[in-house]
Amino acid sequence: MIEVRGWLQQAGRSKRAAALLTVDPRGVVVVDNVVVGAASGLSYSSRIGNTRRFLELPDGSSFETEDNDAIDAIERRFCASRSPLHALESHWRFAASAVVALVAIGWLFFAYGLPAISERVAHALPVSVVERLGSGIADAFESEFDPSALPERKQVAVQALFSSLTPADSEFSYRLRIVKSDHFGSNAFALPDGTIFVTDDLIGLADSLDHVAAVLHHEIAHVERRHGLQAILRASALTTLVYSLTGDASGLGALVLAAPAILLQTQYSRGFETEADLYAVRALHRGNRDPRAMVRMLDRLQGDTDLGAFGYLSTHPVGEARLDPLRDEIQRLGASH
Amino acid sequence: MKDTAMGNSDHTTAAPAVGEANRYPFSFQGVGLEYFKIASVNLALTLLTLGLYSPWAKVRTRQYFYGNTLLDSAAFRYTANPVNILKGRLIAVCALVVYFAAQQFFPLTVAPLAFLLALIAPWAIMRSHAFNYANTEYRGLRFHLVSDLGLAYRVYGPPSFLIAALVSLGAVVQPGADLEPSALNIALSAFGPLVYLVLYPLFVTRGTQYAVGQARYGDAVFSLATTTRRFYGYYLVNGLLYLVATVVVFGGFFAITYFTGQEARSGAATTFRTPLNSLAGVGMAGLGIAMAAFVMASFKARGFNLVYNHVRVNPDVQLTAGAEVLVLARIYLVNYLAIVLTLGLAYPWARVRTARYLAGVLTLVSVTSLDGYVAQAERDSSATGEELGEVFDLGIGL
Repeated sequence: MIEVRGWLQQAGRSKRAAALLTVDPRGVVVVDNVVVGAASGLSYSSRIGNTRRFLELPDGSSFETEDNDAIDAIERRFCASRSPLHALESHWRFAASAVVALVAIGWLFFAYGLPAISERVAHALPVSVVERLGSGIADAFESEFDPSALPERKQVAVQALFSSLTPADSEFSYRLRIVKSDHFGSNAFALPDGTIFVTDDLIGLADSLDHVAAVLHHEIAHVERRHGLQAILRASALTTLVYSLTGDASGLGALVLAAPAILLQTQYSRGFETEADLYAVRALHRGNRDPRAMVRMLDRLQGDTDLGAFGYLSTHPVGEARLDPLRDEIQRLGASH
Repeated sequence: MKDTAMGNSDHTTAAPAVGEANRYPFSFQGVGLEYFKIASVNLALTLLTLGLYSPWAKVRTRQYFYGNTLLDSAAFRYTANPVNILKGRLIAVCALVVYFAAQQFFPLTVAPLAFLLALIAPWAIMRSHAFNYANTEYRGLRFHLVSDLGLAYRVYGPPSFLIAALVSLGAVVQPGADLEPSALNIALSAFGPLVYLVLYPLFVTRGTQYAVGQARYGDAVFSLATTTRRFYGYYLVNGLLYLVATVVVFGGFFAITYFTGQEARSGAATTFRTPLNSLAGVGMAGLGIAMAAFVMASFKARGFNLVYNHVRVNPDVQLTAGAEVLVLARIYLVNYLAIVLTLGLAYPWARVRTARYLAGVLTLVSVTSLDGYVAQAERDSSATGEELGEVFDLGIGL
């Protein structure tokens, strides 16, 4: 005999009263001394945590109870099929497995899925879209800079060098802006539309045109490989994902993914830097320049602690980890001669 | 444990003295750790099934929150069938794909599509409310929506068509960017959003009045006894608060960047590298989170009170809501910090404690007992409207 205390809810009315439901060993259900039917024929609401359960009785009335364990016992004993969901949702080992699975899925997605998708999409977008995107950013940057203070001759030489370096078959129309900036120190960066900024300080660090060429090749690689566009696509994909997964606009959901996203962003940009470095080394070699100029320029930026370490290097991290693949590539290129 | 619950029930079913109102407080019984298990398993199942499980996850989440909300010792119940939601969601996803594909490859179709969506939107919003009400049960009785389609178009039509007009204006102006934009174009693109912003509180008032006023619980009729003026006041106060908070936080960041930039002549990305700067940076980030918690709490608490304090059921029943901005702000602040520090693991706990607070400040005041409501004939609602409304974020909800 199973006894369940709860409330009997009248059919079609909000009137309810405390009631006692019993199930005898043959499965006959009795509510307040009235037989209502067989336990196997009733419909039971699925268990979720410790929320109330509802039994639909044949006459349209219903029985509400807090006694989850008693309802579980009735279902186990008299009902052929039971939902497995509560078992999944109530055991710590499943919750722990779920968290592990989420971390694993999240890691796979962020480390491989998202980069692959954003790369495909970035390369599929027409150049006109990319250029429209870049022009807005360029205007925003313009106010940060003063005109270059380098001698006219030097500027012309760098511009001529730049024209000779841009790929002939490129879809982008390249533009080099040599600028003076106290704020950015020794720095260079590329906008998605092919506008490249180089500061006077960075050109000042270079001994030869090969050194300048190394930096320019590196920035051209960012444009050609559409790194900026990929970064924007990843960021907007993350936002959409957060919104659709958590589905609440209270801002709580955004925080959940914000921290790992920020951590991964630096990881992503490091991948881009390595790709751009390798591009530069190969392009220098192809153009009959010294590929070691890239390594030397990076070394020099590292040594330039006063400005460089805080300018270029903050977004372009340097360490043996970054230089090693370059040295390998240079050796390989040298051997192929 | 059972006995005390029974005692409550017996007490409240006793007939109250004439003219003396009974107060029935809402309460929320959810537990953070319990919901953590439910939420993590459901999210994992959703991802492992590439989203196909999401309707089940949604229904079970709602069932957890509804089922833990008690009024007069009876629980609320959410009864939606996940299969219906899945169908609706698939339709909505197809519609979204068509819309974005059209936007990408056939820019000229954007305007007609936007207006087509605007034409569907009021119906979808109405269906969405109808679906949600029809699947909400309390004391064995369902809520339902009196589906007045004409009224739905008068209420939700103007904002939908205004948005469609703005979207198509943007789509028309952009491809012709090479041409000299006409004065009319400039005026329209500048004032269009402004018009929408100014009218927004009016749209929300009318939308909320529809959602509440068309609601029924059995034979009981709901109404929203508030004015458009109150909604304008609400958006004015919170909008200003938002503005001030934004100015303070960004001003602070700018000040740190500017002064340290002058000092070290270092790059923008490295401003917080030195110990003193990073301390100031962390301080500013903390201030930013605190401000965000306060502004969000102000929006939520004041909006909650504004709506629920003016809900009437028949003439004799009303709700009173007493959410306090500062208390809720503290809850939000702790939520944000806990979520950041646990890399998201505290998210279920945060949702539960927010729900507990909001249920705890809500009371139903009724002269009669809650036993006297009688069912009315109802029709079933499809889930399509609800999911369309959800995906396009048409601004449904109280």
